[in-house]
Amino acid sequence: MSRLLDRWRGVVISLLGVAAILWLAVDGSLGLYIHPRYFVFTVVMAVIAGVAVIAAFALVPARGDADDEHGHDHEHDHGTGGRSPVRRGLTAAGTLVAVAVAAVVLVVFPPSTLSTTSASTAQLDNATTVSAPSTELLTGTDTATFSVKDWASVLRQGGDFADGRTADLTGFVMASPDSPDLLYVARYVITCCAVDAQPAGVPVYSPGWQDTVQEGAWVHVTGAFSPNPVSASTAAYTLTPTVLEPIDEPSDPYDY
Amino acid sequence: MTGDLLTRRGPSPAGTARPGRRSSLLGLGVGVAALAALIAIRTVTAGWDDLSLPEALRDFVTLSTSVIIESLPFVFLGVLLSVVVQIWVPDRVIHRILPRNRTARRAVLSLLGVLLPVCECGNVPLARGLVIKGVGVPEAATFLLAAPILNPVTIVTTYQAFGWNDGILAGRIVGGFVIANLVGWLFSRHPEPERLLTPEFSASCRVHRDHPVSGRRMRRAVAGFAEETATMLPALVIGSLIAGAIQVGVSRDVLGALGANPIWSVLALMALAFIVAICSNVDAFFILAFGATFTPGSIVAFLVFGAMVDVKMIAMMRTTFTTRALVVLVSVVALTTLVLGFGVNLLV
Repeated sequence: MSRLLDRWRGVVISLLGVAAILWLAVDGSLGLYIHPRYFVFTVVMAVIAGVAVIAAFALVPARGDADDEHGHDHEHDHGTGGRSPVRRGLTAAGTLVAVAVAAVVLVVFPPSTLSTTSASTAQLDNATTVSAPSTELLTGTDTATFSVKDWASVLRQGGDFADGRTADLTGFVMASPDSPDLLYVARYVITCCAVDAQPAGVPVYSPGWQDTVQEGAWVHVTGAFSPNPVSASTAAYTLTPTVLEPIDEPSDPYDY
Repeated sequence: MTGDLLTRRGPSPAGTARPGRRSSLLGLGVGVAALAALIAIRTVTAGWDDLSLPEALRDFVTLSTSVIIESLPFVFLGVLLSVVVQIWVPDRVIHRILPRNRTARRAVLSLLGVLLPVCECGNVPLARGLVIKGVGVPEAATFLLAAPILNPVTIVTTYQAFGWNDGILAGRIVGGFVIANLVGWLFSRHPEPERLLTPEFSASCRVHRDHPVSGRRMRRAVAGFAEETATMLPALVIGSLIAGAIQVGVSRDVLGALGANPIWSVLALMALAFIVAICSNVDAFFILAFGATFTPGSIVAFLVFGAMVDVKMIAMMRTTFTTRALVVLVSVVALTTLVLGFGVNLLV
């Protein structure tokens, strides 16, 4: 049993990984885990590994093959020589756990986005993913395509550029700790993969927002920026919405 | 490609039994069916989004999965290159290229990464391949530590992210080279460097040396792929789970507060590098986001330390090095990176 596991665990975990990556790529949800700039590389390597794994099923014998058995016997003897059966058992158990966990994580657990309620407003203030907006961003006057991250960058730089301009955004709701009249429409920004996700948010001035939308829920908001009427908050400009409505979570929940 | 392999059966050397064409076809069928079955399971389970599991558990799985999916292609690339080096590069080529002098040998090996663009997780299998080929343990360790930094992809992405600003690119390249060679030199002081390897791995090296696997190269390559992934992938899975668990448990806000201090910022970003376990090929973009708030020395420390040591790497290196060797390796890399980070902060 442990011998079978030794030989096949790599092939099995590879197969799990290949299946997970290919499924995510076809489904269009690879972006839930990694930045789009790695899509092509990831899919190409998954296909190559898939070919290698299937070749392993065809060419690595399940049993028999005197010569190969010979080599593996040696490895086995040397490898576990001097180790107690308990230790060997533990190693086998650990391997089994790794294979089982890989199966659960990669193909059983439904693909999911990071929970919106675990984002903290403290992270918004020092969200390091929101860097200075590029000059191309600001010289292009078409702000219709600006993302939550783009507007958050503009506002971080003082925000005079935003004054009077309109925005059309989707994001999740974060309550402002400064005032009940303020909320943030936020998104996680990913620079590499989901591990480094950090929230970026645009402050929205909407007294009584609690009646229409919930904290952590996804919303669609349109409106124009104007100087922040709330003195308790440090934001210079806020979005005053003409539309603030709850929506379903979008299929592309992250900004990059 | 595989079909071609199966239909073209070369003459077998005497005494070697081979799986027949029928069992190969059967295996091929099993492999394809297994992949199809897994994709079918995935399609069904993907619809289970109302499991109402605790958010912390969901985030833990999402974060761990993202580390696995981000690293897996790099590990596959490393395993494939390792197999190619083991099977298609003759031993004498390696020994002819490398200088005889040990120090020069390590220096040349640490530059080998320029030809083999693999980040740290792919490097473990490649370094193991070199040891199996008869390259010494200190030399392979030098390569293991240097190649994730001195490789074209890492250099280009670091340049794209930082240009020549604040000596970050230069600090990373020079620092990585020096630290890798220092560790290699320390390992070479060991009377029997082979004892730095785990008993399992040295045994497997002996087997490869004493009983070179016969048979067609393609078949050996596939067997090598199965063997290398068997060692690397359980370690990758466990390492990614630990990285995911730490991410859920440790708040990143604490780190942000330390960013401007010349000493604490270095320690904070080294801790971050250890936790997030991102591949060196892509980590420059990740840390670019911190460029505004953190000192240049701390960014260099992140880029050097993270490329050599992190949660996932320790799990993967443990397959090859003994715990004692790993403790030495990690402490030397950590201390020298600290010095490097402080130094850059003093100079810039």
